[in-house]
Formats: sequence, C-alpha cells, structure tokens
Amino acid sequence: MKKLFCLLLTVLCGMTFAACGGTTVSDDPDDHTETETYEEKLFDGIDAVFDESLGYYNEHPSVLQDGTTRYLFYTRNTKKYDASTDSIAVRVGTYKGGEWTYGEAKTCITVSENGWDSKSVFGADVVKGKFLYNGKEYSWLMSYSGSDRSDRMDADIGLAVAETPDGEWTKVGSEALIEFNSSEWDNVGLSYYPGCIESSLVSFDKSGKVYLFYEESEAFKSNYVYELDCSDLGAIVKGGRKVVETTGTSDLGTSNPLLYGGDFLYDNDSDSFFAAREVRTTATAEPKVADEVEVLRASADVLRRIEQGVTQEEPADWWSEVGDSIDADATADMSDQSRIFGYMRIFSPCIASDAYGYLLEYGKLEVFFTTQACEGDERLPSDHADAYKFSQMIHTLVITY
Amino acid sequence: MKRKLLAILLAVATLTSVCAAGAAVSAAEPAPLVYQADGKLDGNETFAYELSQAQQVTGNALAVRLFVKNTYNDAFPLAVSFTADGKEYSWTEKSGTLTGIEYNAEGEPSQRTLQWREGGAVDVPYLFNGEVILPFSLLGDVQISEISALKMLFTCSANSQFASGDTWLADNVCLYFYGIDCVTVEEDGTLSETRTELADFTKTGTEGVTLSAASGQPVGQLRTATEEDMVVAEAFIAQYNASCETIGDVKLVESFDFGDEFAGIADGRTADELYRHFYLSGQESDYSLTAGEGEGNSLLSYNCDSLVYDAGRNSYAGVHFNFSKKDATDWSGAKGVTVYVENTADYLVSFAVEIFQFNTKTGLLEQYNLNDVANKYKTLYAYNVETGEEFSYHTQTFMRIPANFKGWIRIPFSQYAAPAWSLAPAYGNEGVLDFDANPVVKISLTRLFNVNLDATLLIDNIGLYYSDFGVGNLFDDSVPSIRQCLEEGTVA
Repeated sequence: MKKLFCLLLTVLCGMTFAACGGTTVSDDPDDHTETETYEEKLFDGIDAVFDESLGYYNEHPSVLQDGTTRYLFYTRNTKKYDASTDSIAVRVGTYKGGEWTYGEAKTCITVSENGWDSKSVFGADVVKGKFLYNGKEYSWLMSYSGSDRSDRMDADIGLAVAETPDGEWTKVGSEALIEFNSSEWDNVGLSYYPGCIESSLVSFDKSGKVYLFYEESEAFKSNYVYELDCSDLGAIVKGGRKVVETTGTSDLGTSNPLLYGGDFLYDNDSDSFFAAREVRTTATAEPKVADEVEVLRASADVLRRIEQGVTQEEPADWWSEVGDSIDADATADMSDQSRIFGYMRIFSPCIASDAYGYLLEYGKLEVFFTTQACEGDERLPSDHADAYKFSQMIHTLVITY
Repeated sequence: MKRKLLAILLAVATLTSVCAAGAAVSAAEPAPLVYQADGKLDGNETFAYELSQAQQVTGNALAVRLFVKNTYNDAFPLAVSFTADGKEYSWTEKSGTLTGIEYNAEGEPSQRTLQWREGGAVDVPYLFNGEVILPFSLLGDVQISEISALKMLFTCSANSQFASGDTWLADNVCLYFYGIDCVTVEEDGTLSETRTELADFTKTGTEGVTLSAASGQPVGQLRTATEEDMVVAEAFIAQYNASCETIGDVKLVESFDFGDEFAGIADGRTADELYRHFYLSGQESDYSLTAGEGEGNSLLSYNCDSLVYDAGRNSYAGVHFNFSKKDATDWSGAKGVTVYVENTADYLVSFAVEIFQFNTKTGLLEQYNLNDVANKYKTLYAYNVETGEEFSYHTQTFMRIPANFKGWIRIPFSQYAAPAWSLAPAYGNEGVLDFDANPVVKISLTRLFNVNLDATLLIDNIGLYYSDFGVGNLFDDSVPSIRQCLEEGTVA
C-alpha cells in the first residue's frame, strides 16, 4: 500500500525538482510542493477509506451524501508531523464498482491569524440549507471547534459557509458562536477543560434552522443541543440550549454516561435520532481514547420532553443500542494474518447522512470512525517519538438494524 | 392595614364564662405574655404557673391558648403538665395526633391536626394561632379534682434530630401565651362553649409565673406583650392567612418581603421580624435582607464569610425558613420549584434548595434535595432575564449557578430525592413526595462552605411552577418557554 506521496507541481511548471528533501513550502495547505516520503500507517485491521502518509492525522470524520456524491470532512494537519497546522479538509467520494472511492484532500479552513481559533481547528460537521451571510446566500454550513491553544483545550464552536461542499469556505465572523468560558462553570480553580467540542449539525427545516449538538466538557461533561435559526448568519437566533439526556446508555465506572464524540442524524420516518458515540475509554496508555464505538437511537422526544412534577418512576431510558458495537474484533481483517487483532483505539465516529443530516437508508447505517496507533508501538518510526499522534486513519463499517 | 383581632376568649373574666370562640380583642385590650429567646437555649426551659387558688377541673381536656410567632423549626415542641391534688400529671405520648383549634385572621375557628412528639411534647406548628387541646383521657384512668399549678416545658433545639439533624445557631423562639382552660371536647371534635379558666395571662401578667432553665439562667425572657407586639402578631396572622402572590405560572412561597400587613409597623421592627424569620445552621454564615429592584422589594443576601470559616467544623452552612403563609405549604399540582437568583461573582457558585415535607402519616419531617445514591446528574432549567437565554444544564447535589447569572432556575420535582441517610430507620423518611397528602413546611438553603467562600448569593423569590415548559421554543411551540410561562402563564 505504499504510495509515493510526492505532489510534483513543479512538473507543471516545467521545472525539475529533486526529491531530496526539498523545502519549498507554499502558503496553500493543499499545495504539497515539498517532496515527502510516503510512510505507511499501522494496519491492524480493515483498510482505511483513504490513505494518507503517517505524519498526517486523519480524524473526526463527518460524511454526508448529496445526490450521488459523498463528502468526507475530517481534521488533518496540513504539514507533516506538525500538529500546529490543524485544518478541516474534505474529500469527495464517488461510487464505482460497488464501493466508494474518496479523492484527494482539499482544505476547507485552517487556523485564523488571531482570535478564538488561532491555534487549532477540528471536529467539523456540515449541513445543507439556506444561509444568508454578508448579503449572499450559501447552501452549506459548517460548524467546527477551535481554540487559541495548540492543545485544543478551552475550545469554542464557530461556523463557516460555502456554496459547494468542496468549494471555498468562509468563516462566519471573527467570534465563536458558542463560547466556552471555564470560569463561568468553575469555582475550584481548575483551568484545563476541553470546552465545547464534537459539534454535529442536523437540519430542522432543510432551510436555515438547524440543531447544533455538541459536547461541553467543563467540570461536568454533558451533551447539549442548540436550536438555531441561521437563515441570516448576521443575526442568528438562538433558541434554548438543551441537555441531551443520556439515560439508556451505560459506561463503566460512572453513573453519568455521555454521548462521547456524539454524531447525530435524524430519521424523519420514525421521528427519532440516531447517535454514534464512543464508549468511555478505559485506556491507560496514550492515546487515552475509546476502544469501541456504538450507535444508539432515541425518540426525538428526548429533546422535547421534560419530566415534570412528582414521579416515583425511574427516568425514561431514552437511548437503546442499534446493532453491534464496533470494537477491535469488528475491525479485524481475517483474510490477512497481520490484521487479525483489529484496532486497539477506535473513536470519533460518525454516521453517513444525507445532506441535511437525515437518515440515508432505512435499516442500514454506515459508520465512519477513527483508529490510531498506540504510543510506544515499535512499528512506528524511531525518528519520530510522537509518531502515534500522526497515525490516525478513518475507516467505515456498516451496521444494520 | 386592617387591625386583625388576635386574642380570643381571654377577655372574659368569669371562672365559667361563656365565650364565643371567634370573639377577638383589639391590640389595646389585655395583652398576653410573650416568651422570647434571642439567643440559643442552653437546655430546656420551663414556664411554671402557680394558681392563686386551686381550680376545680371541668370538662375533659386542657386547652392551652397560644400563638407561635417564631420557632427554629416547622413546629415548636411544647410539653404541658399540671399539678392536681398534690400530684404532677403529664402527657407521655410519643407519636400519633391530637387536635388543635386554629383561628384565622377573622377569629374563625377550624380544627387542625397536631402531632405528638417524643416525650409527650406537642409539635405546635409555626404561626399556629389557637388552642392545643390535651385530653385528660390520655393520662390513664385517673381522677383529677383540683388543679393547682401548670407547667410548660420549652424544648431546646440543641442537636434537634427532628429538624434535619442540624444544630441551630440561634433559637429566636417567640411564643405568645394567653391562658389555659379546662374545656369540653364534643364527639365531633368541636369545643363546647363552656370552659373553666385556669390561667389568664392577659390579666395576671407575669404574676405567679416563674421561668427556669435546666441549668443556669434561662435564655428566654418573659414580658407582657406591648401594643407593638400585638400589632406584629396580627400582621403575622393576617399574612399567614393570605394567599400567595403569583408571577405567571409561579406561586411565590417566599419572596423575602413582608407584605402590606406590616405597613403600619415601624420599619425597624418589621426589618427585625423579617430577619428573625430565617435561621442559620452549620458553619457561621451570614445573611441579610437587602434592597432589590422595585419599591419595597428585598432580596436575601447570603454569604459564606472566609473570615469566620472554621476548617474543624462541618463543611456546610445553611439558612432556613418556615413558610409565612399557609397557602405556601400546599404544593399539590405544582410541577417543581423555581428560584430567582443572582450570582454577582465572575465564577460559579452553588447552593441547595432543600425541601421539607411533613409526612402526615408518620408525623415526621422528610428532607428532599438533589442528592442521589448513585451521584447521578440532575438537570436544571434556567432563564437568564438579562440575556434572554434559556438553557438546561447538569448539576449534582447543589444547584450550580454560573458566573454573573441573573434569572430564574427551575427544578422539576422529578429531580428531587430523599438523601440516602434520611432513609435509615432512625430518620424514618419514606422517600415519597406526595403533595396531595402532605404539606411542605420548610425550605433550607444550604451551601458547601469552602467552595463558596465570600461568594454572595442574592435570592429574590422562591416559588412553585405549575406549567409544563420547554427550554426556549424556537422549534417546538407545543409548550411555552420559561419566559412565556412567567409572562403569560397562570397558576392552575
């Protein structure tokens, strides 16, 4: 699977460029004028949906299908082995020969020069609709997390718009839409919070109104959803911010499970939401991320109903599991002796949806997820001690119900 | 303010007078004795009255006429005994009920069930204005002819388990005593019109009365009620019988103000009475009633002062209150509790709104809060009146109030639970909120001290909400938002 990853754009210019570690660097993050050696990532199970060299993290997938075209948005670094070059990228997927093939990465947004997302951008989701911004109507809205810290802590959530999913993306304003202020929820002196992350968009009306799900990690970690009218992005109307109750789910070691890394889609026929989530990690070695993802389903009443009044009954179990969870066994490739154990780290899932964040096909959920090598894996190159941080890949499996 | 007439029966001087139960005397008429403890009782204190002349017993019960203006708990435990024929008699019931006759602001009587407490004491409810009826039949098969002395034992609050396990920092008890009569309880529970006066404190004053403590000097003091005392009592009784104010779908059970009933009372006295409406426990914390927005509006300002923090003591502080209005004890039909709160700090502060249901079946006070045996998150709902934002959020044990928040928090009753410790047999909490059967008589605002040092909370209103609601209603207008509930809702 080794691939030569040289993008010899200089050829187009009729110039000769020696593949000897040349250092020409373009401002365009997609313009890999620098010659790079392709390094294969560690495969302990099924293939990735696309291949990119070790040294680039491919994580936080968000996949939508508009007509017969798919768009796979994800987080990647634009410069090899450089975590300070966070970006949101998109690959266009086409269906040929019974499978989807994803094209080359195109960068949608990168970190800003200054401000709330000046050091990192990650965890994007995209939805179709009608969104007016600066007098122009856009058809695509992106939500993403950003931070002015390179470790992605204290993240906020902002928006961007585009006319086409793989077109030019424009950030909406210079301020975040959902700001995380740790002191607002902190009285014990802690300052190290992930903040607002894992945004997930679902259209309410296939126009300007959207649900924005996200995870807020302050002293209490909770899933929330905002009701937003983004018809006019210059005057966004915020409805209430609601806790997404998680009863029915369970995690080891806590009475308060979370829809970690939750990605949501809506099923109009059953008036219910599907959510892909990470099962709470028990990992003690880096990366301390999940080793399993699962899909859950709840009536849309989970966002509408508040249990009022005196009740002697246990709270409603909103969520129930759909199909089997995706763990190491599920990701094993039994046809290849070197891949029979599957992946040890499985996290950051999403479910492929239609352009509006709705269910694509009854009875079938295509789940995308991220895997990552573990720190200290001897197969990683010795000249990059933190190579595992740049080893993330995106895979997919189908869950039927 | 209408001068409500308080004292009943006692203006009649004849030994076997006939009194209309609803008759009343004005503030200028003979005044009762007032027992008041400004500090904390060191031990039980005894009010003893020696009759100038032994009186022949008539009827089938003893009736103690009093008004409980202030008590540290929802009820004041009062044990009554008497000396007859050289022998002392006292009631020894430990549980069960007895009858009281309560008079409203117009002096109209109604029966009220009272509760026996451990050791033969009767729980006399907060703001009870009436007569405690003690049947002689409960004393056993005894023949009583003449009563020569009467005693009332005031139980101190130290280590008061029946309260909530708290030790109060001050008692501030204030009782008005009018007299004690022999009465006849009819089969239907009403009193016959004929009664025999044993003591009329509106005439005797402190003559013949001694106040003693179990050890040392009594903390409480006796005085003859002043005219102002009587006007204050009338105001309390009028307020107690008034309906709760409402804001939209919210019935206010505590607004940290005194109403028009106190308009005729000097501001200083009103402020003092309002201050004494609240009680502290746990670590030394401090509260005050401070001016809020709007004329005559005051807020409870509650602070955990780092200067007095004692790391050797428990970590909690609490301010507590009983309800000023009878209507506030009726929580039937309500969906949850709501609190108007301001956090002026740039960081999160927290406190708990603990509710106390009086279980009429067990006679016990039951505590409920946001504790949960599994430490599960509880969901609260908020409306920031300054930003217009509505949101729900998780909390645990205590209500978390985000930095600079100003507005209403709603806590559905579904989020309340009996704390695990209270379900132990020693406390007898049945763990079932049933507001159709049981009144709620008290609220405690408690705070974890060390994480709230020097963080002042401002609380304006505590109420009950009666509507289903949504958090904002941009996508779903089938139920009103919190703001709409407050602006357009009604208490159904």
